Amino acid sequence: MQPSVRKSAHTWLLATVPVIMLAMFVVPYTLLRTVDTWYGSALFWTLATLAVIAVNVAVSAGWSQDEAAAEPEGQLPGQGDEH
Amino acid sequence: MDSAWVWIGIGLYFLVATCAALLSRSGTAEDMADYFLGGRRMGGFLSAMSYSATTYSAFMMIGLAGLTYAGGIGALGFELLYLCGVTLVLIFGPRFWRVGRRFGYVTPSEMIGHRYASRSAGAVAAIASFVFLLPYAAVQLTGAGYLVSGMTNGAISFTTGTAVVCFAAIVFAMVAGLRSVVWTDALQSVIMVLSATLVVIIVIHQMGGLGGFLGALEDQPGALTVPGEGYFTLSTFIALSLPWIFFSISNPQVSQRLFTPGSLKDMRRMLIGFLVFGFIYTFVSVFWGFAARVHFPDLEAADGATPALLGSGLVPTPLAIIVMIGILAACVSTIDSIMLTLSSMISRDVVGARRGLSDRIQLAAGKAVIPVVAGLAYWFAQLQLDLIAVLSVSASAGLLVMVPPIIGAFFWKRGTAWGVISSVVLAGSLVLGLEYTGTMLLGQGSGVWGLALAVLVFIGVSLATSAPAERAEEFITAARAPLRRRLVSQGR
Repeated sequence: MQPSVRKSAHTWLLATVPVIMLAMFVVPYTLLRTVDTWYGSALFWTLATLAVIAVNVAVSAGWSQDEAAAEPEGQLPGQGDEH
Repeated sequence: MDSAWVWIGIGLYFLVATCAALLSRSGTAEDMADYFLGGRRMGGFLSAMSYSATTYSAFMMIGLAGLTYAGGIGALGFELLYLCGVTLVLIFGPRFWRVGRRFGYVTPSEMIGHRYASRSAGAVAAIASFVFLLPYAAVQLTGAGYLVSGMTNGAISFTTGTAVVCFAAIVFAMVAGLRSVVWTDALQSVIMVLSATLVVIIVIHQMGGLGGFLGALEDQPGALTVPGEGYFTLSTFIALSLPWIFFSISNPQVSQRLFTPGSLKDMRRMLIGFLVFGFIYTFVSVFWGFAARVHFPDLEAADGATPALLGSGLVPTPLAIIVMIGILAACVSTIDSIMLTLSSMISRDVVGARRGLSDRIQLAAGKAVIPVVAGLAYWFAQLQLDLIAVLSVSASAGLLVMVPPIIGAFFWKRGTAWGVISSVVLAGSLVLGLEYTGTMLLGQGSGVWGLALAVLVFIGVSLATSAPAERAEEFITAARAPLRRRLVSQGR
């Protein structure tokens, strides 16, 4: 996959995470409020978390192309302006 | 349980962990990056296990189990939301890592100070971390104290339990800095998750299998819903969850770990390894709380759920001792990481930066700070404040005020040092005031107000003061991936 296409796909995948997390607040307190069994809120939170882990696996796959062994290393911070 | 068993377990743990710490020591660490960051060469598996051990502490097996005991399934949702929040590492992990290499940062507050071109901003961030992390370290000692006294019905006192863990933490941190802490962490993470999972399997088996276990829970009305029996109101759920969603960037003892992997590939292993570990461990802790709820419905304190389960006949004694070691080791590893982070911050960002001391002297100062931090945490633990989970969250609520400056560092060139200083001081003071007086403004927790004020003040003050444009450009460019850097420089 072209890097720019991959980046765009990753951005979309990442954007699903806040939506899923918002649903993890809202759904158990509304739709599943009275479902007092294991396939209620517990299952919803579990599946939502698995989806988020899958996003993490997919997006971080791009990190495997190791970029930076050759990067300049360990330059000490410049003497910052003092307050 | 006979206290002799517990002492044998503690002795064995100390022996094995000391060996691991000594073996990890390859020569004497002479500079700050070597001692506090393992030379920025940590491998993926070790990093994942150590990140897990640092994050998961007394809070999980005692605090989360206690929270499940007290409030039901809401505890699972709250903890899984934290785990989802670790997705922030996808955005910030590589950026921390790149700027850490480029500019040689040892601590997150040093990064803040350099990015905003102000040592004062770095020092304020370091001091705020100190104020809010100390109670969190103390919570670990409290957990250890409850555990050993609960398991032995008081034959080993709370004070003795905290003292033993405090001593072990100082020894391992002093041996070889992060390198030894990472090895003891990895060892204990594996023990912790395997033994705890085994206990869950045994206990569920004794309760008539998964069907019997779930049936027993469904017999308790509200245990599997929120707000359930009333503990997890939406406000409480938000107040607990919000600080933890940002934990991976707001808590310096874990964000500092983003500087340590040898490569981004190692960071990926760290992230995914941690997510898998956390997922399993969350379920184990919640199952554990539910099992105690079914078997011991009348415990005086919810945090006694795990000790009660381990001290009962439900779990074979040798296995209970292994789990106890795992939990004690979790307490030790979290305190170790906090001590290392705080001592690196104090020595580098408060003492060293002010006086321009050499690396070697800063390192000596850092090592000298370790027992001081441990002593303060020990004193705090003796206060025996209530409910570990709530205390831990209060500490994290305070660290939330660091989130706007951290996000701003990477994504907002207009952010200024005065924005950082004023937002951390004002919002941090607000959180402290609310926590100290136990005030819930409009029914919301201190973290919600602290974060809101921090965002407003950071943006407002930054817009009114002048930003270090050149430094911001240099920093944000260094944080970008090489490909993106090239595209930006070509004007695309």
